[in-house]
Amino acid sequence: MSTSRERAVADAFAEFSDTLVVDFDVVEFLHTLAVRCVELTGVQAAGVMLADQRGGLRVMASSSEQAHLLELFELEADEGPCVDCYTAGRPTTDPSARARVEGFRAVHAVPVRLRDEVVGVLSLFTTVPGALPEADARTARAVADVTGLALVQHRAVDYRQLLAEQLHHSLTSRVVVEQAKGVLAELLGLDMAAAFTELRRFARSTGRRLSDVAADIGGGDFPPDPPEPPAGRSRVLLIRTISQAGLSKLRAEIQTAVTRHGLTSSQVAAFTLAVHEAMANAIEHGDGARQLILWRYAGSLYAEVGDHGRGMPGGYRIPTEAPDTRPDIPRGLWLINRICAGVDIESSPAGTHLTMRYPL
Amino acid sequence: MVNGAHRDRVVRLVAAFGPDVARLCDACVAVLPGVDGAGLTVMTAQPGQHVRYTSDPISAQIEELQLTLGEGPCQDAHTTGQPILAADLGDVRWQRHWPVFSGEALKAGAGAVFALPLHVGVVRLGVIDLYRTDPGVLAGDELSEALAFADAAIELMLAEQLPGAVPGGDQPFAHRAVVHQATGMVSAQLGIPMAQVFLRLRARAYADEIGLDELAREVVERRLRFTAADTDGES
Repeated sequence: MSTSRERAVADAFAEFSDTLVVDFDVVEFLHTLAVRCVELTGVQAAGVMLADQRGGLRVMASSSEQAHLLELFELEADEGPCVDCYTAGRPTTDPSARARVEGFRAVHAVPVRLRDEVVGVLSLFTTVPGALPEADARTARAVADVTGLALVQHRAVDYRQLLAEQLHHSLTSRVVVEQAKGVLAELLGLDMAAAFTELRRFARSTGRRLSDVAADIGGGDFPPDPPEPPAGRSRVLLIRTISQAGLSKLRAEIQTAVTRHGLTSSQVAAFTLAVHEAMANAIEHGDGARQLILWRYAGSLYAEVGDHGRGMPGGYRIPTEAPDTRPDIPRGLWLINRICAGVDIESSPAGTHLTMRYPL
Repeated sequence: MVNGAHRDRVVRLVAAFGPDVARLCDACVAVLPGVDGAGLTVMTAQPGQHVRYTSDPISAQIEELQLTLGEGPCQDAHTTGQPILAADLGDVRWQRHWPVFSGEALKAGAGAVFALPLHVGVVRLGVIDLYRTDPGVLAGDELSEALAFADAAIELMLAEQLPGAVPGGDQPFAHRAVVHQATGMVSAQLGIPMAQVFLRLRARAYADEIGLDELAREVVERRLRFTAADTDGES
């Protein structure tokens, strides 16, 4: 193993153990693990499957969320080397899987163990036929071991019962994530991979767990559910793309949505104005597809307006002075700042997102 | 096919005991030696929570207690979406966790309660509580079997809301990601909660005589869209 590769492996494991310390999200964690597995070895795709107490393997994560790849892993979870590996509890290879797995030449499966029990499989696809090189096989085994440990981190109760609970939770989380991907794909016109990326971005930018955010997006905001979300959770009111032609219709949707959350008519007018200014800004100065996400969390309404442009210059500060004293300040931002309790602008290569908070 | 084993189990249970959920629950108590009784509470919406089935006076008490107190394994399974396996209600862990419920349930005659959520992602139908009079875990295959009963109950409860549909059939609720993605997309297309979308998707697959997976793929590949007109036509 080369030195740079050793360092990469060490870095990855440090990252894994960091993830395990905090209140971790199992889908997010397994996704990272699959991505790192591809980066650290010579394989082209990696997937994590866990046994589901109901005696079958279920796909929990894959290195890319492309629908095609996810489906290939699902087929492999039904029969083939992954199932053999799970049953026999040792690494298994199908060195010439071309006929079955379109686009790939070989499938390698490594058992994920917890103490003496096999609880799942790490599955690797390669575009070259034949066995895995020894160094790659070693790395894959290490990644599989970390997966097992992650499932029962720091809880010392009866591990079989814990495993049943944790696995069930993992599988439910996966379903919730798929449902949320569907919602985002439809409302923002994204493919499934881009929808997953957007879901992660939104979870990170709001500092919340991926599966909680996914459940909130999937749950929406429908009566007879009360407008106030349960503790620690949010209610997602609206997810929309923004266009000049659709602005007035969208304003009406915002007004209806926030009225349900108890704003008085003057508050509705003020909040809608602030969001409108941000959307108009995004249309005028932004780039690529523009979008709005509106949600309620911990006693406040939030609106995030985003685009896919290059973003604001580094160190940009939100103006607090009136625009008539500073002609260089866009009127919209000043207004937003006057109306909302908090305004935050986040710029990255993926685009610029302006988030405003309005206390209820 | 390992995965198929569970699917087969669910199909078998649905065929043998459906379409009546109560009959399925009766069978669950009869078949599982470690289970002395069962209760099913419907928890679709906060004010809509009600006890749907109880096998005997003890399970009736367990369900009523939880609805009244707002605490207990059923409530936890509902909010967390995880099975809550309380193998010994006298254990200090559960005594602390449910200060009132654990004592009252013991008095009622339950030594252990296992609560299994009837959830499909964000779609929450309810919870099945299994109890036993003596403390003890659900041994070996019994937990798998209990989970198969829970999945069969999901099948029956979904089918009930869809007149004319055959519950489960040879095509129980699919585990494929594409079905869940399509559910999310159609929920957004129609602006309705996911629980209702399940029925639409299944009704459409049934009417068009195609598999649920196949229908879902058409939605995800944007070859099929649902519109409000479909909704009116079906309701």
